[in-house]
Amino acid sequence: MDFYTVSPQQQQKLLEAIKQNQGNHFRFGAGYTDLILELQMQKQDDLTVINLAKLKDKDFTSINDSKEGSRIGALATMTDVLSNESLQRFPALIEAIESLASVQVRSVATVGGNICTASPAGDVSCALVALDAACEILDTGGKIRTVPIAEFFTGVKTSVLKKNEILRSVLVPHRKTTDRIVSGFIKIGNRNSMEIALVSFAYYILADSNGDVTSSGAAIGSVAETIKSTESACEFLMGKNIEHLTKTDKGKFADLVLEYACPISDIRASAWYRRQVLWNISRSIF
Amino acid sequence: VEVEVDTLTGKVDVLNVHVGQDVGKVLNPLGLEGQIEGGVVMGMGYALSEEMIFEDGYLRNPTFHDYKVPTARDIPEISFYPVETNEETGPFGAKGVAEAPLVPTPAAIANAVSNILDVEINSLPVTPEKVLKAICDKERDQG
Repeated sequence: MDFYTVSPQQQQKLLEAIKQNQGNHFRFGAGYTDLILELQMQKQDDLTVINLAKLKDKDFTSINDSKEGSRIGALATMTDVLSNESLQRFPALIEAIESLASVQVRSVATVGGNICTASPAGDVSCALVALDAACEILDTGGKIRTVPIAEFFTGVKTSVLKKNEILRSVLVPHRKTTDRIVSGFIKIGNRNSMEIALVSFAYYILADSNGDVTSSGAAIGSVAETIKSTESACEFLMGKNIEHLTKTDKGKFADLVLEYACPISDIRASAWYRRQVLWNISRSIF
Repeated sequence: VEVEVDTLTGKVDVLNVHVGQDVGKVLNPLGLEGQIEGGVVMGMGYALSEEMIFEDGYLRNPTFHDYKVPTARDIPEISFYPVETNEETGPFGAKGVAEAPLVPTPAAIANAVSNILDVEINSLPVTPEKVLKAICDKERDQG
């Protein structure tokens, strides 16, 4: 494994580094929990790694609350998110991080890395899709464009990021305060840590004091080419009373979730298992 | 052993393991306990997740990425009841102890799963997929 590195410390230097490498083959490195493994498996010649670990830019590294919502810098580590008080109101996000790899990996792995790797099994990405987060992408001209995270992924390990762009932060929008939150992250694997999801399901459902659903988001991971937002299942819940869902309602919700899944069979699990489990768990959340 | 099965996913969690064993003359009590616990955990991997998967003669999971050994978060409470004896053929009456708890652990776990679900699972490892399949087949047979 042999590559050139450049370690910008300010945003301006970072943008310059990206600009200078437009003609080269380059990758970003932040926590290196995925990149080093990938480079070990596939040797790449003349590779430049733009090292983000030294970047001292608040836009990239901090977690802030603003009027629109909570903004998480792409370089915030999983541990940073776990220890942030205001993010505790998003149980799906917190549970996703708690199920991710191990304490050691969570201390260096970054939120932006999880998103930009664009793995269909990304735990944190799956939770962020359920939370309807927005990706804030910076280009070399210093301009920001915003893409809903559900539209960020275009396939296995591919995204809408262009070669002159970098993910700066994600914005998790505020919701009106409600009386009930039904939210969580379910990850199915063969063991309890250091596991890649066979199936994952993130959900964030809000209801008023009567129990009527006012807002709802859900996402599935590891069962399709990309993480998918299960919109029609969420629409089905709107206005329904969460306390009094019938068995048929729950079954219908699970059926609608399943419509978004087209899993593959591999050595870790069969397509049959992934579909069956997804149906079982999505019916069981209420 | 005592196990818990999630009937939605087929995942088996081992809650308690009790080991009673003839251990010969004990030379190092703490070392002995470590050996027994290690044997149980190795048996749990054998029972639940460790498998070499071959396709067309090629090993499909040659690294620990896909060959899953248990992690610290999978380990149950292990109670140990040693029976100290004198092994005449061993040094100072001692004998090897670490392999013994590996051997019956998978059978005990698979039997415990059969016991709660009333289904037979006749191959190792007892993966969530095999368990869920058995549960679904049984439900279908019973209508």
